[in-house]
Amino acid sequence: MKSHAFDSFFAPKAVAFAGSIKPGKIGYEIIKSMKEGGYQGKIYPVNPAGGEVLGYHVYTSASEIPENTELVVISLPQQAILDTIKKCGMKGIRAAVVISSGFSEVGNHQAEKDLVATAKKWGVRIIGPNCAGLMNPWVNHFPSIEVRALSGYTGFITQSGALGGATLALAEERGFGFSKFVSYGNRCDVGDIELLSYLANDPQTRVIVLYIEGLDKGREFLRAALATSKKKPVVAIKSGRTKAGTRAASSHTGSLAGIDQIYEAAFRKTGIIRVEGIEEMYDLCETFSQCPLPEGNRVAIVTNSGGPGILAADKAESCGLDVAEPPPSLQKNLKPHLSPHASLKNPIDLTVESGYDEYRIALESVLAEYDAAIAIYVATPYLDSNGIARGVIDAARVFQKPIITNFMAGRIVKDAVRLLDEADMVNLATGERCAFVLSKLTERKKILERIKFASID
Amino acid sequence: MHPLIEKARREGRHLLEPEVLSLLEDYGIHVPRHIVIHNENEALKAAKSLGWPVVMKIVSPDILHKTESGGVVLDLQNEKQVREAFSRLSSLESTGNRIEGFIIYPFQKPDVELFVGMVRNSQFGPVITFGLGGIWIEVFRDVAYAIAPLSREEAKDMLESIRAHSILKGMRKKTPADREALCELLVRLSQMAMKETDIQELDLNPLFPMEKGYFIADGRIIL
Repeated sequence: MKSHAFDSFFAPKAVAFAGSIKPGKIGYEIIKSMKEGGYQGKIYPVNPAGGEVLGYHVYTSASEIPENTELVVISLPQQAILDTIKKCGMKGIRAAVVISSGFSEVGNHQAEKDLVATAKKWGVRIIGPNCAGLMNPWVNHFPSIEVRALSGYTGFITQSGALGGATLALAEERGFGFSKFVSYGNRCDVGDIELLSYLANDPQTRVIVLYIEGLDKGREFLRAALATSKKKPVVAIKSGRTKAGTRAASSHTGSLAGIDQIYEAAFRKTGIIRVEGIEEMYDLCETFSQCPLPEGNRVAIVTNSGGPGILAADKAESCGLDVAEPPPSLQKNLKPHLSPHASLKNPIDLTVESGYDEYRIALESVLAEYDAAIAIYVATPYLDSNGIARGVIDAARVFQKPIITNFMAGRIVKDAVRLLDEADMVNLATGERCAFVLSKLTERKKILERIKFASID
Repeated sequence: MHPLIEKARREGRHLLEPEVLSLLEDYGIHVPRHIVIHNENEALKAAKSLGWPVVMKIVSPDILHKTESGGVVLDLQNEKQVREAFSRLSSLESTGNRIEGFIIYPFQKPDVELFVGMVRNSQFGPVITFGLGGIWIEVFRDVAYAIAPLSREEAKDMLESIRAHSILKGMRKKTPADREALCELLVRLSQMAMKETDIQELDLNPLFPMEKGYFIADGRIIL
């Protein structure tokens, strides 16, 4: 017996695959992806043709598969699904991912109702139909039609399979990993609410991302989201496609409150942080899963070049961070350690003649005073980029305060960025992006204060 | 369900303004002194007892938008103006509107107009709105939205999230608004919205922030 019913979805010991076993077909490709991904459990393909596929014995019927099967992944034509669900239910399988489409998304509501009724009758929970599947990279479990995700700390719950897939593909390029990925498609049974609550208690998940087109149980969602955000940050990408759930208004209030404002209010109430797009989402998730929360909003910017430092400072201020000047005592203490041309205002410009010592000492000193720091380094080929990365890493070890880095650019900082990565530091492409994520870390602190008192009922 | 809402439902109409005020009062929301009158004599007596100047408004189940229908006369300074207003508002009956009486309030000339509202969303339930009101409402759309019920902290967060917040804090030597009282209003309104599920929409517009408390100059509830 699993500690949570959803463990059968995300960490099963044996999985059956009901679908085609022809190369190029979804059923086959998923089995192949499971195999290539290094899944450690048992794989039981099911197809009336029998025989063998990718080295696995093919069972001719779902009633033939071994008793230890915990999950079935279905990519059959819509008409063949009910019988398979029934047989799996009789076998004691409690979890099914239905990849197949042809249900409510094309107006076939009856087929979906029948699916739900059959699953309920035989005690099978369903993710899907019309979904891209799910993944748990931590146990190499990839029952999905999408690119296999790297392992990481972000749990991703998506309403759109395609967007989820694109996100995974981009993430791979960036080296960004996931704790869990799930595309819930038509949400005929298991949906965002239960998945959110599951990930709230998932030890590998440090931050949760929701891609939402529309919710169907608003109030229940609020309850789950509020409880979850008290435990870990929840980030949402909301597309504005859904129609208003509000009737035609005859009051001022009614005409002012459009659906987007209402979603915004729902996010605010539950502490969900909304982002505009994928790139911002990666930046934030990386930051949330790797950085401590700052106590306040005072940020010091340490740079070796004026321009990027000022851009970061402007952005920081416009995001509500305080880029205050260092107190005279701090300036006095720092001065002997830095280049004679260094500027001791904020941004602190170490100038180009700076290396490990200057970065380490400057960052350590400012962090004693400030809540967070941004470390900007503009490389030239003759500078010791790796040394500077080490300086930042060593400074970060002194206080439990976030340092976000912006080492630029390209090939000449590649090794330095790898060092930062290995030390679990967040390195972003511009100082402005560093400022943005820091402002969100600060916001998270405020959110935790605010939602303590919020209630839904 | 509140008996006033039950009655309005039975009669197939929205709440009348005096009913709105009394419902709000039952939920601990402060409403201005007001008197409902049915003839000219009562009107004069009411104006004197409330103190000049006053506002007179029509109470009719057929008129939802009073100002647009000519159902409101502001800033009545003396008996003559009260008589004129009474006869003007009475004449609205000839255009087929039922008249249940007239409501008289003290007239306020505010620096700032706010509005507070509620709209029930089929997904998320009651959504409370708060913002800069009056003629600027459509231009600036300086509005905060929050989902009921509201805690004190959430109400405060709403107040602070509108751009006009600096005005409420007392800009340019003006006296600051009673923000505590406004928070209390939002909290109580949100509780009413949670409980009275038949209310679909609500407008308190305009609402004047005061040095102490607030003044609800008009209220509308749609079932």
